Amino acid sequence: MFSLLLGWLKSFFSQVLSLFQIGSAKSVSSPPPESQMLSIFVRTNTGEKIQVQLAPEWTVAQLKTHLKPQLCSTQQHIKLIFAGKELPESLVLGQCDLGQNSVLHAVILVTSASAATPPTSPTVSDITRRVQDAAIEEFPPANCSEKPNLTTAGKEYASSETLTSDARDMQRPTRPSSTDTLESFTLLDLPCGKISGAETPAGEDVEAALDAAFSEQRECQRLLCDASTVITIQLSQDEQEQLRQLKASGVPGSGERPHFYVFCSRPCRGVRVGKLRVRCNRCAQGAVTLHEDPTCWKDVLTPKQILCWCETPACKEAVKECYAEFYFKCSGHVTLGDDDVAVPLYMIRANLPGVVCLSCAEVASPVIVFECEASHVLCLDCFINYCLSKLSERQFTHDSEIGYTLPCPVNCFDSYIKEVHHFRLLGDDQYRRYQHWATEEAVLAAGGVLCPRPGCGHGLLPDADCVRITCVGGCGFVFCRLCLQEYHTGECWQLDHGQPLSSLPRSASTASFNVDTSRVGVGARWDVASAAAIQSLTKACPQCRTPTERSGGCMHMVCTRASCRFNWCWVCHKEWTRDCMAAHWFG
Amino acid sequence: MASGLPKRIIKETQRLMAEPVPGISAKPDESNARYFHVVVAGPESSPFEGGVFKLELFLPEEYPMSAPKVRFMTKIYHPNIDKLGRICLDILKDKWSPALQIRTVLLSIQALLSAPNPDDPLANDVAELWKVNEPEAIRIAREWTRTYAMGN
Repeated sequence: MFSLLLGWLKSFFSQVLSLFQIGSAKSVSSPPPESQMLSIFVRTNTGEKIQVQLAPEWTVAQLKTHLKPQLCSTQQHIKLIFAGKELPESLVLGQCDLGQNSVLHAVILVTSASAATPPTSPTVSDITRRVQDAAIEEFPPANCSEKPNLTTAGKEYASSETLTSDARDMQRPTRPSSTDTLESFTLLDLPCGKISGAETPAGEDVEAALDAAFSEQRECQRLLCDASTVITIQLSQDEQEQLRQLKASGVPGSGERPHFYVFCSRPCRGVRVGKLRVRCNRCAQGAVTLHEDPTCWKDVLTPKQILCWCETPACKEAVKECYAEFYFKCSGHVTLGDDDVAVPLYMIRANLPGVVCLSCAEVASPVIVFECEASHVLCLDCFINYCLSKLSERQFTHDSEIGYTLPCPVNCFDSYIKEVHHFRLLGDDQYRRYQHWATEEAVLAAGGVLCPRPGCGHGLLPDADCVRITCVGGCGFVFCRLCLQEYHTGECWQLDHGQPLSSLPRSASTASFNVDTSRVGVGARWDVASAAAIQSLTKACPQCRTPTERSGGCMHMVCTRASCRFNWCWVCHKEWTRDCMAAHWFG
Repeated sequence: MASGLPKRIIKETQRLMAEPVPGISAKPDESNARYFHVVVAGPESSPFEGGVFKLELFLPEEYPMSAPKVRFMTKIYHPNIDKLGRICLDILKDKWSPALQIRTVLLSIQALLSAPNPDDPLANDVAELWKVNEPEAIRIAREWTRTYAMGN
């Protein structure tokens, strides 16, 4: 009879919930089919590691019951930690973004008596207790006086026995009692249970997640896999507010669940949904609980932003503070172990507000959002096209901090792509090309030269005053640093139209990467012809030696190389001045 | 509309037809949706006032990653436009960005007619005269407008 009633309530609440879902909302992390068993590892703080087969429908309480005989005596209690959080009893494991071979961390609490007294250092139990207290304060007494500890720390969970007896029916999260309030039921039925019972219901639903992201001022309220965590980290407060207004005004966004995205270099070789994980920066173990939730990318990407409690004995005993070290795993494949991490591509997000790509005018998702003030958006296809066209024109810029990179397509101030792994989207071949040119630019920026011999291009870092350069480690070609021809004595004869190159200003990057004239007298006839054509049609940029053709217009030249952009005079073959403008602007 | 035409071009074309820029008309060619017949009216209080200037605008395959190709078909005496009608405009070259549109390009060209920029010339002789003897340059520009841009 009781289970019948439960079943009815279940279907009722799932119907109520479905009313709150956005139209075509599809939840990526919805529970996998029942038949699919998850094989995970449980690692204890004492160093044990056991493998467990579990059904995604299991709750944490059920898993604990399953684990207890293997890990500890019945008097002892276990807390389970995953991705920086102690998992609440009521959480359905399938709603965590656990994958095959994921590792859960179990901490065995020594005795119930000692666990009940507050330990010297603050623990997760403290936090949960604190949260409970907060819940009691914030909730009307009528609602929570009966069961303030509904979804919090396991040891106070009144009905663990009920749960074990319920083990046959593992379809849904079990409930402690049928006398619970509506709020508690709703919460339990939600895809991602909250640590605090007083939590605003939030699930896969973007609107709910937004609300949750907005209202959660308190610490440690959500799991790292929650949609609200993704929203909090990816969107600024302003963006969240805009999105909320957009939803309130009835504009249908994409309605999808937000995710993190990573580049999985192996085995997936592509952009995949990423899973945020955390470990201790001292012992690199995952048995940590966060002092506070990460709220922005800086918290996640910059080391030592957020403190954590580490349960590893060595760290626990040490006086030093442990910091949370966030990392990402690819959700596209079964994890290959602790080292199997992936680079977060933080500019990629779900297109929740449904912004059109500024290039193709289509609404796609996910998209690349640039870090400029205007948050310009490109869809992934257009981003790839944008990069490829700039790469082919060699218009990437070498930035001393970031490397070889691009600004947003509108060229906004301070909009450079800071994580160059985003260029992995170009595919292996193009990325190799990108890396090759990036290396060349880095050598040039460091004051080095590239061997001018065709097919070589070896990077060299000779002394600043060295003019006779030998391609050491490369082809052995000996060349003149000034004209990039085969080494010679006397003045350079190339392209200077009457002025010795040696008299020209020397900048940090006095070298070229694509002069093709070094094989004069050595190569085939077309080489000679090409060299002659280049020589007769072009002049080298006085700063970087890029052969430049003047196809028309005035004598004021601007170097076409993105990292040079030198303003020079075609006539004087030196920096453009007002004198040039006055004397021979038009030749 | 030709099949395989990017949505962006379709959208831009529709908007150009629905809300034309004052003083500018741009119509896609019947046989090639990437080729536009453009007519720009000479801006008021410029030497080109009263003139009707025909241009051609072509959206290359890479558009919007690369700029549209625009050329004056009507002869014009302007320091930034050469004998072949080629236009010296930064947004058509290195300042192009995919966030710009056909509409913004045409507006810029209209603005260029209002404010010739002899400091960034394409037609050397015109630019030189424009700098040395502006009244004479403006006189010639007016004359060319009457001769070439008012006939039909």
